[in-house]
Parts: sequence; C-alpha cells; structure tokens
Amino acid sequence: MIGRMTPEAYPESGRAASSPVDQPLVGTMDDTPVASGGANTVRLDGIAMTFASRGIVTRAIDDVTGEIPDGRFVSVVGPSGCGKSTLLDVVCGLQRPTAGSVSIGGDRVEGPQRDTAMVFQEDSTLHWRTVEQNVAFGLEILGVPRSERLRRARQMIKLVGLDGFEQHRPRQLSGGMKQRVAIARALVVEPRILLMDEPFGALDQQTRWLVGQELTRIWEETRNSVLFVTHDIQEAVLLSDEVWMMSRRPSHVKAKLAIELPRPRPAGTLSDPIFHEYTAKLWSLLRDELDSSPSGIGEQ
Amino acid sequence: MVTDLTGRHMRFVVVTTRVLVLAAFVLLLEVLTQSGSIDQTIMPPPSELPDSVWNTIQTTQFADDLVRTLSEVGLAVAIGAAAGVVLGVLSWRVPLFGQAVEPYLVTLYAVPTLVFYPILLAIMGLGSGPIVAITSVMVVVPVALNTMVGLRDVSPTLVKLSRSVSCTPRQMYWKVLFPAATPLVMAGLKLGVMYGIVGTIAMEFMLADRGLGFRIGNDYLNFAMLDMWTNIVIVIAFATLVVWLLGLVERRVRRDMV
Repeated sequence: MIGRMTPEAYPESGRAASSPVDQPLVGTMDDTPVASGGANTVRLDGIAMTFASRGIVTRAIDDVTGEIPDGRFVSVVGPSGCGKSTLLDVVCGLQRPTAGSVSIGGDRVEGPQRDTAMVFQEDSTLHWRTVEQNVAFGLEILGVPRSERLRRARQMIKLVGLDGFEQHRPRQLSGGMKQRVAIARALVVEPRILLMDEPFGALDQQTRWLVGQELTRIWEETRNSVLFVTHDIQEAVLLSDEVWMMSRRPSHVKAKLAIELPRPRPAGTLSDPIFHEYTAKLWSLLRDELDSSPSGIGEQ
Repeated sequence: MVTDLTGRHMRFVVVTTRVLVLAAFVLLLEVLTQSGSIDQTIMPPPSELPDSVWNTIQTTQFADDLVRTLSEVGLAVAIGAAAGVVLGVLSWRVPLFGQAVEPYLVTLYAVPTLVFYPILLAIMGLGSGPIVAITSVMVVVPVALNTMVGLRDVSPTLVKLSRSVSCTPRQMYWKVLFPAATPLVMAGLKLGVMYGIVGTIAMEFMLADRGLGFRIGNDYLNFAMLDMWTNIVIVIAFATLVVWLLGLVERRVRRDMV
C-alpha cells in the first residue's frame, strides 16, 4: 500500500467527539458492534495455543475471543510473531487449539472445513494447471461436476478481472495476477468465511494497492465474511469493517476498532482525515505493544 | 544460457558447428585409417561403415539382437522406475527410513553394480535374468533420489492449500504432490533410462548369447573388426535416438508442468 506514515505526522486533529474513532470500542473484548448470530457468523471462544519443542513451552496465543459477524470484513494486526497466522490456521481447522473453540454459524470447527477457504501469502497456484483449472481446484476436490465447476470458475475469473487468461499458466502471470487466481480459487467455493494470511505481503507496493482495491471491489459484490491477517495497518483500515489489534505473545485481542469509513472506499479515502485518525490510533496501540517487554517464551 | 542463443540465426550456427565437429572427427579417422596410421585390421575406414550398417540392420540376427536388448532395457527401466518411485515416496513419507536409506542410494551411484555379475550368473544363469536384475538396480537409484527430492521440495504452501480444501490423502498425492514433483522425477527417469542402456549393453558383453552388446563382444573375439565397428555405430545411433526422444518427452513435461 502507500508509504508508511508515522502517527506523529497526524496529531489528534482536534475533532469533536462525534468522530467515530473516539467511540469507546477500544480495549473491550466482547462488544461486537454488529448484531451477531448470522448463519455464517464465526465465533472464536477463548482460543489458546501452546507449542512445546525440546522442552521449551511457548505460549503463542493466550486467549482470543471474538466474533466475525456474517458478511463482515475483519482484519487482524499485531506485532510480528504474535500468532496471527496460527490463529488463522485454527479458524481454518488446520491446527487444533490447545484450549477454546471455533464455531461457524454454530457448527464447531473440528478439522479442515469444506466451506472455509484460505488465501496464502506465498504463491499457491498449481503451476501445471491453467488459470481455469487452478480456480476450479477446490470445486474439483469437492466433487462438483466438470462442466459446472468450469462454468463457476470462469464466472469467478471474470469477477477478479482475469478474463482472457483462462488458459494461461501461472508462470505467464505476474505476482499480483497469481494472487487474484488464489482469491478466485478461494471464493469460487462460496465459503462461509474467507481466510487471508497476508495475501499481499509478497507484492510490491503498487501492486499491493491495486490488488487491495480489487479485493474491496470483489468483496463488495460477494460480501463474504473475511478474516484478514496483515502487518500493514493502513491496508487493514482501508479494507476492513473492523480491526483487531493483537498483543505480543502470548497474544490476546488487545483492542477492537470498528472502521466506520463509508464504502466504497476510493483512492481518496487515503487522504480522509478520519482514515488517518484510525491509522494513528492503531499505530499508537501497536507502539505500546512493541515497547512492552517480550514475554511468553519459555514459560511453563 | 549465458548468451542469447535462442534466435533462429544463432540456432543455425550452433547446429552447424555441432555437425562440423562430428564431420571433422570422422574425416580425421578416415585419414588416419586410409594412411595406415591406424591399422585397418583394428579399425576399418569410416567410409566403409554406412554400407556395412545398412546391410547389418537388414539381417534377422540384428532384429533378434535389437529385440533382446530393447526388451532388457525396457524391463529393467520398468522395474527400476516402479521400485524407484515407491522407494522415493517411502523415503519422503517416512523421514527416518529416508535418512537411513539415502546414503546407500547415493553410494550405489558410485558402485559399479556390474561387479556383482558372477554371483548373479551363478544364481540366475546365463541370459536376460542377471542383466535385467543389475540394470534395474542402476535405474532405481536416480529415480528414487529424484522422487524423494522432488516431493521434499514441494512448497509447504501447496500442502497447506490441499489440506485447507479438505483433500483426501489420495487426492493430495495425485492432484498436488505427484504433479508438483514430476519435473524432477522425469529428470531422474531420463538418467535412469541412460543408465539402463549403458548397463544392459555392458552386461551383454559378459553375460549374454544375444543382444547388441553381446554382438560387439562376439565380433571382437572373432576378429571381425568391420562388424564390430558396425555394431558400435549402431549402438551409438540407438543411444542417441533414445536420448533425443527422452529430451522431447522431458521438454513436453516441463512445458506443461513448470
């Protein structure tokens, strides 16, 4: 996304209390700003994750509780190594939490789900398949008949703006295009929740910005629930309805911030003073975390 | 490539150079044999070979030899490749086994397996048996090692992806792991086939009553130098053809798989 700006550059602009940033969302764990209980609402209930390796016990995640209401775009930001990706794995069912549980629409997640989809930071295209076959991969695994899955894949390819590239192979595509293939592959199964693990982390800034804009446009059409992990605060604010700030390890959700910027959010949003208030707020929260001493390693 | 040799013109220059090198070598042999620097009882002038090759490949004896050699190579490659893939998958799937076995496989690369022929001769008798057995072992090594490395190098992200879409183990192997490892397995297989040819023909020298390798050795023992060189040329042509075909297949696979 665009160049990092320090909070200092945008001091509290003396806005009245009407500013959405000032609303008391920060620091509490349970106040989800939207009515819960939708069919695809994801609940994280006291998630804890402990790793043991060579006798050293690492508490990665301490207690993460939260809710991603149906159709909401939630981003998770936090210090490096705070277990953001692990949290995503837990929601996906790839790892079992040491304690706590995840449920989607009331169904408890016990293992990989057919109706969750994940987009990774690294290239996850299958390089021997065409774009079309890549996008159809998830449907193929689910046993959707060929003609049906190709039809849906083509539709999704069009939605992510890759029409004309159906028969191309990944090596003929740029990094940004490969990530769009990955997004299409994830969305085509119509997942109840879309999990994104720093999907733009490997892209250069310009591409990042462009693919981010694309994602917003696509999401505004599909309105999937999204859990989006990033280390880029501006990206998080720009894309999300809600941003969760994680603490250092062993991590918990330190603060939740509802982003009440109107949608669609065009390029101009970046110069919106409210946008800067959000990023400044998150930066100061993050800085507090970075300043506090490291913990969570070697504890029993 | 370091310099750009992809242009049509450069390609022409490369091929021409290649042909010229070969032609110069043949010409040199022709001069050396005709002038008597090389005794013609040891090596006939190359100019006599085309006729001789042409006559030889029309005989039923040659057909018998070719069938024998081809079936030995084919059988050894089939056995070696199948065993190699299984061994490679196992070494990857069970890391403990892989670590235990890898040094042996690497050592087998260097061991001239042919030295075991007396034992096999005693056990299996003269014929295709020991040849196929020893050649199979030579084929196993590169296939097994490349399969193991190919699987090991599959990106963890792809494994995670296949888990996240709830692949069954079988789907994960057939739709992700094997396709992803194919280019390296292919390279191992190519090497395996080359070893297969070398192994079979070398073994036939010692252990056969038929086959292209046997024929060369037999001609030598009978002082039939023209026939011997004729068969040597045939073997070289055969090996070149196989390598060329493998290159075609490999390029095809790479085009689709990489």
